[in-house]
Amino acid sequence: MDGQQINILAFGKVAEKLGQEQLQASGFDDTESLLHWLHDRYPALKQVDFSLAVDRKLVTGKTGLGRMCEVALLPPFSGG
Amino acid sequence: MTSDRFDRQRVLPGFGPEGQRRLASAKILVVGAGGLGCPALRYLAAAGVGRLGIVDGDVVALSNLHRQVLFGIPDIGLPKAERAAAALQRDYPGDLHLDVFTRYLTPENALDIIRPYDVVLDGSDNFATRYMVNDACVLLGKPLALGAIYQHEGHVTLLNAPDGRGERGANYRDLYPKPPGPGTLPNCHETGVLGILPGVIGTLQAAELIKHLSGYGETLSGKLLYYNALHNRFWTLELPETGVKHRDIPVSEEAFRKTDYAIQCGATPQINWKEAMQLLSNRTVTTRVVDLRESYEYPDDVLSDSLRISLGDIDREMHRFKDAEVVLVFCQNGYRSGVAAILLGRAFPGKSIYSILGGTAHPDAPQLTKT
Repeated sequence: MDGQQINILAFGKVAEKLGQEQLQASGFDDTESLLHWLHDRYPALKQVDFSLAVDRKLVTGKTGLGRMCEVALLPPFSGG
Repeated sequence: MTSDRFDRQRVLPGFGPEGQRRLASAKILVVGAGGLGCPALRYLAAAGVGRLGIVDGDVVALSNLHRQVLFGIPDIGLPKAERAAAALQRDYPGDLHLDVFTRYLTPENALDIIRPYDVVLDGSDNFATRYMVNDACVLLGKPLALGAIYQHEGHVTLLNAPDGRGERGANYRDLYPKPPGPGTLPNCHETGVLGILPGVIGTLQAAELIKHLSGYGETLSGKLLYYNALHNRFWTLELPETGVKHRDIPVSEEAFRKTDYAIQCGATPQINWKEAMQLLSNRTVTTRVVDLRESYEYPDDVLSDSLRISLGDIDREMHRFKDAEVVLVFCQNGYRSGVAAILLGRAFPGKSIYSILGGTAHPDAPQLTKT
């Protein structure tokens, strides 16, 4: 079973915590399990609040992930 | 036909004399005459917007000049709102009306200041103001051009704009329902920015309002556009179709005036060194002082009786504050102490917790005793 290829895009402070702006993951059916894995692998991510988008649409709550999808992690920006 | 400074705009197919007339009769309020506000104001005034309001309680500093392009060396120390208005008045006399507010927007004055304008541009630099402006615009039914930056990234959108059926578009709380926790707040390392980044984002905000007001082209209503200056990337996100009713938006103007956005957005009470020293000399209250500086920053200097705790260890050391009535926190410049004070405030809602403004780098900081 090859699972889904998930392209993860990180913005702002999330990218800083992950040390990269883009990474790949596979084998996650929904946003909840993907987030769980991310928090496990990058504990510093727990300090940052962010919203989630799947395939460029803002989502809230547990959302299913299709094959070859793109998940964006979007922290708020306050500067000006 | 007489020629004026708007000729090149008026001949643009789809914009035309009607677009120009709409701009001339438009009233825009710009919140913050900083890195975003300066370029936005320049283009809005140049484009022929009839009335511009400028709100900013700050004064011009030397370190502002690389990005706040309406100001120069002679403006240092003078109110931003006044100097921005003076620059625009000098360059476009005759057809531009300017309203100057040399103060910050607060829950008490925001609704009255915003009400007379058609649309608002948020060029502020903190979450408390951003949530306050968003909620005020939702309550008053004003479209809002939002722009914000973080290091080499920025985003821009048009919020709360009516569609063809009069339905309001997404607002900031559709994107971020609640203000972020302290971990998302800026720290000592995040204060740098290339001047061109707010220049790009502020100019895009102005473009959104010019399009919205003139009916020319497509706006970013319902979409959020990201720009990454380092890697030359634009990226667009779709926001929910309609503005959902958020329980966090005050239900009435009266409730809005009573909302403490500063506390909701993690801003902590700050005091200066003079007030801090007065509190310390008052022996009738139990006061704890926390020095957050790491051992490599001035290892020998400590204010007598202060606890030395790193920001990362605050969570583990909470038991040391149980018997204190007042907690004063300081670091080298006031950023870390602000975050620590938020964490302490959440753990001990009943205590008076203050971050000391400016930290040990502040000229009023006491002569620290050698140990």
